[in-house]
Amino acid sequence: MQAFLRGIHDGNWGDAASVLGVLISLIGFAVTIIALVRSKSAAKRVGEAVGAVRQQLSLRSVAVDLSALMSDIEEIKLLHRFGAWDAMPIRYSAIRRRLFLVKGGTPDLTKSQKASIQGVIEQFRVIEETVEEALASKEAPKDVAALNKLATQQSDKLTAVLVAVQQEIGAIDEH
Amino acid sequence: MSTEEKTLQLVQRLHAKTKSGEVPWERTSRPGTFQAAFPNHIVKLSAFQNLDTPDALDYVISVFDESGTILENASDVDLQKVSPGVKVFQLMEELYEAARRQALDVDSALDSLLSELS
Repeated sequence: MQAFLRGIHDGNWGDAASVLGVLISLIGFAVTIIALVRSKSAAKRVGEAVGAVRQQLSLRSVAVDLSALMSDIEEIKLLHRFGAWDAMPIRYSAIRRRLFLVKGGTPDLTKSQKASIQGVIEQFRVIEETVEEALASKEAPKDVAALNKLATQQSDKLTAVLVAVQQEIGAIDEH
Repeated sequence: MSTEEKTLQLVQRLHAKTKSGEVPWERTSRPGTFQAAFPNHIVKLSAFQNLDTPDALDYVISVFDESGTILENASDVDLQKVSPGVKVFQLMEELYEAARRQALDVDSALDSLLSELS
């Protein structure tokens, strides 16, 4: 600054202009850096918001799937009571396939929720085996009440996962 | 470490964690078989009548992958062969009984009966 003032005082306009140029460059550089930092944090905020929306959509989709699965399990119990055994294996497979999709396609599920879903998948696999064996020997499964109790327990486990997922959606909404 | 030794280690760990209530055992549609689910695997415990001594039971542990394919299957007799120093039958019998009681919620049933009879 002293060089700049001395330059003006001495009538040496060239030196003064070059010092002024350096100063303007430094200010411009600082402004650019501030703008860059601001735009980066804004981009980060946008990225976080997009992530939250994506997570919320994924969890909402899981909630819809779980509700539909629970309603299908109720239908399965009804069909058990009617003795519609021939139609059952395909329904058990469909439930397992959809549960696989829920478990595999939702990284936000906790370990315990994934374990719970895996348990339901396995229970329906064994129920399917039991019914297939009965069909192969041209008999109806012996204990329909026990099968339905087991189906109810699976539905209850999915309800617990659904409640946790809905709480998670609520927590994201609050943010 | 052989597969049998690892399986025995799994039995020991399940025994300890089941005792502290950390393994969620549940009944299955197969009588005498109980399962515990993990994110990508299922462990099942079954009790079978011993073929040579019909009064005695054999305990079997099975590990399945997420699609239901059996990965490993071992009885107390198989595991005893690789670890003569461990009381495998006793370990698996205790594990099976603890799993059965938890899966069938035996404690709650007994509590309920005790309160009705008090």
